[in-house]
Amino acid sequence: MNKILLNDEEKEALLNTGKYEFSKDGNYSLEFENFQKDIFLIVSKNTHVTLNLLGKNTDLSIHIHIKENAELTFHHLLIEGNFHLIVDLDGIGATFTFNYSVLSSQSSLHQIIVKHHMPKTYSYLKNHGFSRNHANVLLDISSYIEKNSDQCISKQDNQIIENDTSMSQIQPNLYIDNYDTEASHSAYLGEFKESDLFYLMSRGLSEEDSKFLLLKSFLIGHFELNDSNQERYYHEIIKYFNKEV
Amino acid sequence: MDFTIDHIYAKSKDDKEILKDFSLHILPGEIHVIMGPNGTGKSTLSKVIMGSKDYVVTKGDMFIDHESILSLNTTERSRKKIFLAMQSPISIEGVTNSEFLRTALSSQLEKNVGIYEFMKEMEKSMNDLNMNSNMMHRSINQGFSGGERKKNEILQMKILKPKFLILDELDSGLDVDSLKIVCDNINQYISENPDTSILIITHYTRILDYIKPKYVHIMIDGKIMKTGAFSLAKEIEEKGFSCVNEVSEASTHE
Ligand SMILES: Nc1ncnc2c1ncn2[C@@H]1O[C@H](COP(=O)(O)OP(=O)(O)O)[C@@H](O)[C@H]1O
Ligand SMILES: [Mg+2]
Repeated sequence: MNKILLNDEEKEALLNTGKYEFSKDGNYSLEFENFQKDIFLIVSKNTHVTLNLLGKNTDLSIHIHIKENAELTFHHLLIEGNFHLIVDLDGIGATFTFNYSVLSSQSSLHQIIVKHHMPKTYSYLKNHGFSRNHANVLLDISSYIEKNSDQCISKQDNQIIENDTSMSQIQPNLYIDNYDTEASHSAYLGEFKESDLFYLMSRGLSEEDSKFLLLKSFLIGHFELNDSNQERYYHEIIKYFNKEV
Repeated sequence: MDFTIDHIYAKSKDDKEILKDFSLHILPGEIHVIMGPNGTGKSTLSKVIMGSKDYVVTKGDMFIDHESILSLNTTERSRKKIFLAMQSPISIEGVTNSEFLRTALSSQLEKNVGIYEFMKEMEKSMNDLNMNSNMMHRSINQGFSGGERKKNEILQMKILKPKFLILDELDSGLDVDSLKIVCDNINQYISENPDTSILIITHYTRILDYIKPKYVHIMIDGKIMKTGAFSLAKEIEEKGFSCVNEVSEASTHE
């Protein structure tokens, strides 16, 4: 699928009204810097969308409705800022995959809420936070499965890597009101794994280079991006560290 | 490379003493084997040599070419040309093999290695190991079978060209054909670099059919209990470790 950037009109409409409806299959990319906004998105019935969002110093609040048999894969790399996301899985078979990474040197809140309103809906949230300069990063992740929502799958994988000690926290919440569902979550909070560092350093990489590769892996390794987006995001991470480390 | 371990004691971070008065001396070009039952401290030994922070050396010293390496970190030991092919290599999502290995080679040589020459060498080495060259562009060990991971370790060895090679349970995960290919590559490397010292760690003798050691050491409960020639390995294969166990029984139940 080709990358679709919203055309000027659409982008302006999105920025003015804060609303957009995805009614064509495609791979959409958005970038924001120093920006604050409430955004309202709809993924129409049977539409398959990949959304790549790069935020730098942003404070976005996004509310998404995913309709019947629609599929949204959402990659979001946030370099400094806060994020608030609500996703309503409104139609049978609605699917939501969220790969989120945040790089934070200031205390920040990342609140993700997914609501399974209908049967056979799917959500898989992978949230990775990297805290530096003792920043307290809070991942507050909630999945709701309602009573009539049979055969849903809801998964969370939340991780925070601290470069310096902090009071970062992961709050995973699964609110399940239906027994015919599959729900799971895993969490890791700590430093880079000693065994990973050891492996890289044993090949002659410095501790700093090893940590940087592990950071790259942590932030964008779980993103399924095409090569140009991968480069783009990696470039932003390099830029961020050259500037500040 | 001349490698010496002199009466080393090492414990894990949770204070479990694993290496107990361990000594070993390997001369340039010699191949030594350490055999021993599971849980006896063989992998720990290899990681202590490589400077893993999971262990603390409480007594003793370690030298390469008569210089102590105890104060060096893992990176520095690697740059001194020690290479450990690990028993269970980890995987890293999102970092490609080629990116990793080129960074490693560049830091070992302390210069930026050009992509073109690097790719050429990778392709040749992967071909020698009968590896699919698209693995170069895949994430480090991600989705690799046990055998592919082991081949990848030897690929790294071929590129980084160590002078002291430690092989920890190389044969686990490798089928008969792959083991032969991997050992052929190691033998080729030895013949091109005859000063390379090698420490093979294993609890099976299968690998010794391909790479012939000069000395065989039996390690039990954190130290070497017996040293012999190649024939000792054959004896172990037939009788098991029990023939050297009498001494250890006492110390394991202390
Ligand atoms: N990091 C560690 N922390 C605690 N115990 C460890 C650690 N590493 C190894 N051990 C223990 O030390 C013993 C030796 O382990 P290992 O060196 O892996 O043995 P081998 O390779 O000979 O099978 C085992 O009992 C193992 O559980
Ligand atoms: Mg072992």
